[in-house]
Amino acid sequence: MTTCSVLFVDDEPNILSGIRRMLRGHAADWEVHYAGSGAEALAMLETTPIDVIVTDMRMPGMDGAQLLAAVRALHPSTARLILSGQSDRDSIIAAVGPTQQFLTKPCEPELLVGAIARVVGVRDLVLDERLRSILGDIESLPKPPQIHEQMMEVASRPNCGLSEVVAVVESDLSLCADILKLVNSAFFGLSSRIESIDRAASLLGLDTIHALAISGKVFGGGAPVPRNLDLTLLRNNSMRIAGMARTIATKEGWPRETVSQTFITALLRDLGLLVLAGNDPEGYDLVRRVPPEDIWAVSQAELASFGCTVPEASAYLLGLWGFAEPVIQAVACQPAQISGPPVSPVAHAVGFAHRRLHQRVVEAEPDPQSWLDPIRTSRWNTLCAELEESVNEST
Amino acid sequence: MVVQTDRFARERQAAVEPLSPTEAARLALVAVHTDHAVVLADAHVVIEWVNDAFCELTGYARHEAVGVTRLSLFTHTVSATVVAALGGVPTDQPQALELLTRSKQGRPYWTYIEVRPVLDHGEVAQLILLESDVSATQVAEHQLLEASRRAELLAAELSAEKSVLSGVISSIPHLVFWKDLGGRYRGVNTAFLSARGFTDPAEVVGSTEAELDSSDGSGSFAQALHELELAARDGVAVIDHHVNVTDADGRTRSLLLSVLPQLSPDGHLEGVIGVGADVTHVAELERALAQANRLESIGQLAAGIAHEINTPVQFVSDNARFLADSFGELLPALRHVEAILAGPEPEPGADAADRLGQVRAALAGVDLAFLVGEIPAALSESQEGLSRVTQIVRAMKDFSHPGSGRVETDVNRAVESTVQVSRNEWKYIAELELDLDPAVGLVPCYEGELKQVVLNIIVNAAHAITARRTATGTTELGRIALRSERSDDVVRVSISDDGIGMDDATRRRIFDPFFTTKEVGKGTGQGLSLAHSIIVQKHGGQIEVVSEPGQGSCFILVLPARWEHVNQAEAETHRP
Repeated sequence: MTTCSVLFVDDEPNILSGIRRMLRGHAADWEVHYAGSGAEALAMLETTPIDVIVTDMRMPGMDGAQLLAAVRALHPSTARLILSGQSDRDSIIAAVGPTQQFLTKPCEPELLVGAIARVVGVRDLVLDERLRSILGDIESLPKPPQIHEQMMEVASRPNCGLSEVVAVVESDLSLCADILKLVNSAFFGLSSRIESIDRAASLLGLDTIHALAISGKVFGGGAPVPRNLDLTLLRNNSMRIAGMARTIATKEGWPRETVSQTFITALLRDLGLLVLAGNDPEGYDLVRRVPPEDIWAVSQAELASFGCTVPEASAYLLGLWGFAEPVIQAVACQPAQISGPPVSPVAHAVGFAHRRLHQRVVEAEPDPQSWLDPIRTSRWNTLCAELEESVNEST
Repeated sequence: MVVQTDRFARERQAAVEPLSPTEAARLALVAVHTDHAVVLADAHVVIEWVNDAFCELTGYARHEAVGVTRLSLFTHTVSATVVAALGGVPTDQPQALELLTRSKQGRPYWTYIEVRPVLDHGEVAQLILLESDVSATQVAEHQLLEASRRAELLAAELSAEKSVLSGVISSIPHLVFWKDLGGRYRGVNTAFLSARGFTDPAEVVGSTEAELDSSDGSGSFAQALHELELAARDGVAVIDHHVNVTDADGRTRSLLLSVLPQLSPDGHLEGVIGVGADVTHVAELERALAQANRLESIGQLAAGIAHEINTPVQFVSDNARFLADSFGELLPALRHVEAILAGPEPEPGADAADRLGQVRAALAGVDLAFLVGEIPAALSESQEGLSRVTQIVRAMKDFSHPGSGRVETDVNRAVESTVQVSRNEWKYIAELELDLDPAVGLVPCYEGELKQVVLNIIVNAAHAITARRTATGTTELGRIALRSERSDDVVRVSISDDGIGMDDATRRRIFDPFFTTKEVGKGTGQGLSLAHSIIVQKHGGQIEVVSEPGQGSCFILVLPARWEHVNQAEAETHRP
């Protein structure tokens, strides 16, 4: 791991000295800096490259949200975290735009170190500094323009139910990601237990969703939708892969937590495409020409056009946003390598579902030692076929 | 058109006997001079003679009438009855007709025609027709009929209206009664009955209060009524007098009682009307609103206090982790050194140098210089953090202590603990100055309510300063100043800010319930209205406000400082 630099900002000196002492063991890996105010932090960023900034929310003068907004504008590749004692809804909403992760005080030392380590870890996935800036600059993923209106309309119905909100959220991949991102942040602190969008929506609560809709920070705006990207197709494919992967995980009898990680991994696997294609539409045109069933060729084309693969970009974003480590790992190693380093069952299930999307039947791995042996392959093929059948019946 | 009225039927029965020729001849003489129209006709109603009155009535000259049938003189179609009577078929029975007809010139009139046969040896020899204009009677009769119909209708309407009215009165949830001058109930409604424990108006109506066998027990009702009625009997209306009474179920009810003099149309006092509006649930609503405001501020405070506590907990826990790590290095190294030193006394020279080398090696992994510098600091900062938490928790406990009733209260301390718990509301917005006069001492107060008022005003001050800072784009802290002072009989607590201030229109409305200048969801608009009712109504004090747009605001709470000035009765009840 390359040495990376972390900057802590807090107006309370005792907090900074506590962190300094607590992090003593990481002195070798991390170059740690401290600032007592937003202005001091910005001045430091002028002279010192900072990979991760962790700031308090409420500070006299410039507050945490203002500081992070400035950091995003000036140094978009710096990962932006908030460590705040405020955990009320208004503060979350105020900071939701420029903030990539929320942590609440008091924060266990392991959690704080883990969150920073995760962000540092994904930096190896995207080595190009320019690409990191592009990914880091994302405040809100591109969404179809009508989605905000829809959300406002649904949320302002007097007897609006959760299922109506969930329906709107599920109609768009970016929204799914945003909702999961919010729930994953430590304000809600339950990243390992999210099984579905409805669970995430119910954790957030209608009030928060309504407030977010009004603020326009999550459901509105965002980067413009890439002109040559079919959002509906992307969303449908993601939903189908997620459905298949979840079925596989469930029927294999994996633990609940693993099932939910499989679902999220599959759902958000192609998230990075929203940013990559928007940034480089010509490059995406080249990628589109590759037949999708040839997954290795697609990966090669992505690498050639964008500088990293779509799953790498997705994993980078998920890392910035503080998703669970197994999810980030499983996304990062897509498409699952046959003869590469061994990957988790989650990664296998997602890789399988992704191939299944473009192939009627997925061929067994030629390597007889592979975890995904012919027996598993045939079982999973059957599971996916059954799922598609029941979906077709119900529609 | 023939109108056959009931009168027609009666008259036909009353018709006189047929005439004899002698009588007819005599009558004919009379006929010349009478005002009634008279027609002499043969048995087939062919006219033989008419008098002048007939000519005048019908408009026909005598020569036009004579020789034709009476029937043929009608210029309009007539009913079968008329045709039968005047159609020329002799009948020995007298008949009478009443019909609307027209004169030759077209003048419409009601005519009454009596047909009297003159019998000669049992045969109809001649007919005498007596005709008269009964238009006037007819119209009068119509009017009479109409009038009686209207009267019936009116009676029906009145009775419907009466039942609606009595339904309305009885279903009004307020108590309604009316009495005569002797104090006897003349009417009551259902709400009145049920409040007093009766079921039937008859149990009450006709009796005086003293004669009632009411089960509302305490007599609180009779007592409340008595005074007001006296006033009403002097012709003075008593409106919305607040009384608390005990109803038949033993529940205390808050009534707004009005007693009004009831005057007769000529202005004489006839009795009194009483209306008691049951405002028990309104009073409960007010209490609930006060409670909501309290919960709102507690919720807000809780978030702020959590932050105040979270910060020290964060660094105490970081320091604890550091200390654990440090001692995790330090103690094994010390044990190691101890073990090295535990051996037999080293020989001077190589042996001692070797031991020294071992000790150095054991301590090599320990950054003692760092630990020596940091451990004491970590401990003292942790202690500071813990005492901060303790202080906050104590202030919160102090603040949330509601007090019971009006008791001697240390106003300065109440202000201080309120400032302490609300720290998070102002510390990023303003510097807060406290200038509390020790002479203030103990003041008879409702402590919980007083703190609530101070809190509401501090929070408002912080909001006002935020508004000004946003408007002017400054990041400089504002200023909130709290002062207390005691003069002879009153204690003043003033809370001033350098926030955005208010114009006159806003200042006049700030104590109105639900008035708020904050955006939706930022306040119930209850804070100051509540503050007003707590300071003015509950404490018998005053709230003064000085404010100017852009210049900030100052709220001054003026509290009576001595028990003598507090409501005497209250003092008796609550003096510790």
